[in-house]
Amino acid sequence: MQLKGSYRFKAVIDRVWGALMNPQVIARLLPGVERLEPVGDNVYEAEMRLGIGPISGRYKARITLSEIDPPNHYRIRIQAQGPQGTVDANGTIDLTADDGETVMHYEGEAKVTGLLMSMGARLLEPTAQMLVNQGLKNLEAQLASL
Amino acid sequence: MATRYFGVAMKRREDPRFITGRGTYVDDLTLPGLVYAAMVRSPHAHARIRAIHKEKALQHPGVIAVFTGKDMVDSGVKSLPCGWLLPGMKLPPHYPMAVDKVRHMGEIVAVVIAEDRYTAEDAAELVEVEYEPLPAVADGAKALQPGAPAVHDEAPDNVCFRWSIGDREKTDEAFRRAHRTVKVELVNQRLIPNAIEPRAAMAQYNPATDEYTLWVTSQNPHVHRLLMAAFVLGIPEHKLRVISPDVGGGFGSKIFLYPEETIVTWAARQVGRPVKWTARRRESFVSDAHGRDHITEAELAVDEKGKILGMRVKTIANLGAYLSTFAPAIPTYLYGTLLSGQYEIPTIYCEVTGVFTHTTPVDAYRGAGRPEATYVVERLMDLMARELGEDPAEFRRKNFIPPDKFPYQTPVALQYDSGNYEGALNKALEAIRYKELRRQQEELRKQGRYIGIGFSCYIEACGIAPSQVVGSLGAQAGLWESALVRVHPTGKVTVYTGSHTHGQGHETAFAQIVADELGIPIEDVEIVHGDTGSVPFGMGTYGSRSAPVGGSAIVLSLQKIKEKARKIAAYLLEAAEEDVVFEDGKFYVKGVPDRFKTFQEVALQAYLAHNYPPGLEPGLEASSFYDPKNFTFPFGTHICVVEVDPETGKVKILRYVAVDDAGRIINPLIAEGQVHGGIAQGIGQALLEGAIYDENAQLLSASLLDYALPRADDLPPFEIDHTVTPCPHNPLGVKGIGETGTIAATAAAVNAVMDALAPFGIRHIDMPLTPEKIWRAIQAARAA
Repeated sequence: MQLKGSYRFKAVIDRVWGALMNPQVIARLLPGVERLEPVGDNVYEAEMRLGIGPISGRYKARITLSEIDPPNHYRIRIQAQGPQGTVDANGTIDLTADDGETVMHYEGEAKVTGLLMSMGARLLEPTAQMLVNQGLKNLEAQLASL
Repeated sequence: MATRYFGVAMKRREDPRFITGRGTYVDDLTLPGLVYAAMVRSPHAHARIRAIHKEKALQHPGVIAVFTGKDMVDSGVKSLPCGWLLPGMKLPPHYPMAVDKVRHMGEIVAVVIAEDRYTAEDAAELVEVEYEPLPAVADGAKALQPGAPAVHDEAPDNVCFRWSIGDREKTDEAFRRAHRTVKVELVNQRLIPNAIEPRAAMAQYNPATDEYTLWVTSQNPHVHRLLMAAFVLGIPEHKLRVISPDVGGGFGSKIFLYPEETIVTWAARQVGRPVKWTARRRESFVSDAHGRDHITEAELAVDEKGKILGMRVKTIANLGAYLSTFAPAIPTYLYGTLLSGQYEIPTIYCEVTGVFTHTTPVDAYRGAGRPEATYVVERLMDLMARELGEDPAEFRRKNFIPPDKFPYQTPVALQYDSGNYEGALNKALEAIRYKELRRQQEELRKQGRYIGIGFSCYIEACGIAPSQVVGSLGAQAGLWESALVRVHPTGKVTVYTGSHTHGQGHETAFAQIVADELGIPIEDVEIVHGDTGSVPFGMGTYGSRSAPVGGSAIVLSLQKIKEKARKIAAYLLEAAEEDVVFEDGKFYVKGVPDRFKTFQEVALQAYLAHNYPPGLEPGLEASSFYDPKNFTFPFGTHICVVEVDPETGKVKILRYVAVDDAGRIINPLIAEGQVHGGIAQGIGQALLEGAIYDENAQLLSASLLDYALPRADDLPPFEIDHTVTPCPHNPLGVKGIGETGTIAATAAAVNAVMDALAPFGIRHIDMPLTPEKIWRAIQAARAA
């Protein structure tokens, strides 16, 4: 499964970058995160509740940030495992300053296994896109309130 | 023999119990202290197991035990065996639960035993498995490419076997001197069986007697017992009783020894309580053996007169991650040997590569190899007819093996015992009103409507036999059948058959045979099957063998019963044995029919033994083991008529005519039902069904949401008829009809669609022929 898109934030690039590097913000940005703790340099463990179609469950996830190039770029990998399958998502986030605002480009792909894939395949991409959009709106709201 | 029941379309005696919900299936059974098993299955198609953490599941209230593959192997459990071995074949171990690696999505890594099913399922989600995912491959051709991930260390190139049949040089030579040749690449897609009753198993261990009892959805309980006891669990065979009660469909998928029944049998002893498991439908999708999955390159050569010179076939057969019980036999001896079809083909060469992939194992599915062969042959026949500009029916007729050439030796090992192929073709052409239909097709094309007529002139080989021959081909079992006929003192009869009925109606059809032979009412006959505790060792039901092999075994036992009864009757009638006639259930002296002894009187005397021939043993029962002399060879012509909507690509089946020759028909109603179901499944493959794996070998069509089974509104009324060419070598003259529909229908439907699309110049589209594929082909053809 592949995801790709862009989003314009009404905030300067440093503020967006700062939010994206803040674990508490990431926790609210990612869908269904119930707990997120740093376990090393730019490595976090999380518990997430995910549902796709009829398949839902609690997932343990490991989130790793790399290729960190403030305030422009990082790579994020999310490896989640739950009773209904596994998700291994790998993507990049690029920020560009534009007239006092910030344009984000995101791109990534995910390998999904188990029931999550076999029962949910047709719903996977729309669901993932919906979750991403939701996350970005959350971030926008948080930036406004910071 | 007075015929009162044989050939009569009697309603099935078993149906009242099925349609009123009184059938007894494995999942209906319960036992005191019963606990339930839930399987923890791998989400990955290929991964190393780093660790399995049971603690959380074990702490869950109601959980009794959690076991892993390592627990089973440490206690001495061995690999599941493969029942058919080919020379040089790779045979990697297949443990009931994965030990260090998983090799297909859905492979079992642990089992949770709990007080109830809900607790077991919940706790299964608490078992934490640490996986190291590895690259996987699902496609048979991709698995053969250099650098493809290896499924087993024992087969680094993923090749399980390379097998061939026929004469390569002679065939190459035929192609060199051919007037015309055609070539096509065909994918015979993977199918998922979907019996209406999911697989289930319940096992009990009695420490007082050291005996196990296993209730399981099995098409062949004795084979299950033998394989599980002797090869996997090391239980003495006489200490394991296997009972297969009412079973709701199998289509082959319930032949094989699976991990689940092995696990519950082993676990019942570990936990000291009876254990039950019933598959959820989504478990069935990833754990029932799949069918078909061939990629084939096929060629046909003809001379100037359009007579076939030779056929060349190269097939990649996807076997899945492990060898299921009879997997190696299906794409070889049940496939390559059928490639002569109904035709005189001087030379054939076929090579098959059996390939491991990271997918659910593949094994026999209704037709098992023969539908794949028929699809190759009948697609080639249509393509060649089109190439030559000949009518497909006449091109077939020209190449039929003529009736006076039987027994006919094919170039691919089989010797056909009988056949009259033109008879069936003519009957089918007449039924469909062929000439008129072709005229209609022409006219409709002018109006922009696309009708297609598709033929399938198929041959089947049923009742695979004799044992000595199949043994020499690699079978690890005999392929005879048993029958015990027990006459009770009142003349009522119980028949214990080694065949197994799971939809075939044996309780009716076999009783018809018995009632006729003994001249007694059918109500006096009980058919018992599916219990190793009461039935003599039997081979079960698959490959349309029940009537020709199981039925023949019953006839042999009935002959023994009648011989002994005649001795008793002769004594009672004070006559010489050879003067005693048996007719309509009565023994009398030739010419004196008024002075008789009934079968019931004789039966009673056999048990009283008061007034009895000296030296003759009391009692009246007989058992037989019938080993057939040859396969039986049903054949027929199916014609499918379709209309394709060129704007949407949708196929509508307008008519379907099936003329089958299964020899003598015991019960036309049951035979018709078998043909109906078979055609539905065959059309299902042609138009709708297909297992889809993604590039990570994840099964995407893993539920009835995504896997399209045919429904009533996808199918037309079937027009069914028969020709009767009795089998010359079994006592009933029967051949078997359980698979003819599936074998014939797929090719008939695809040929019909390709005939409809001929004006667009479309030559071939791989199955399933979904509207999208057809629409795209039409668009591409219009653009070209």
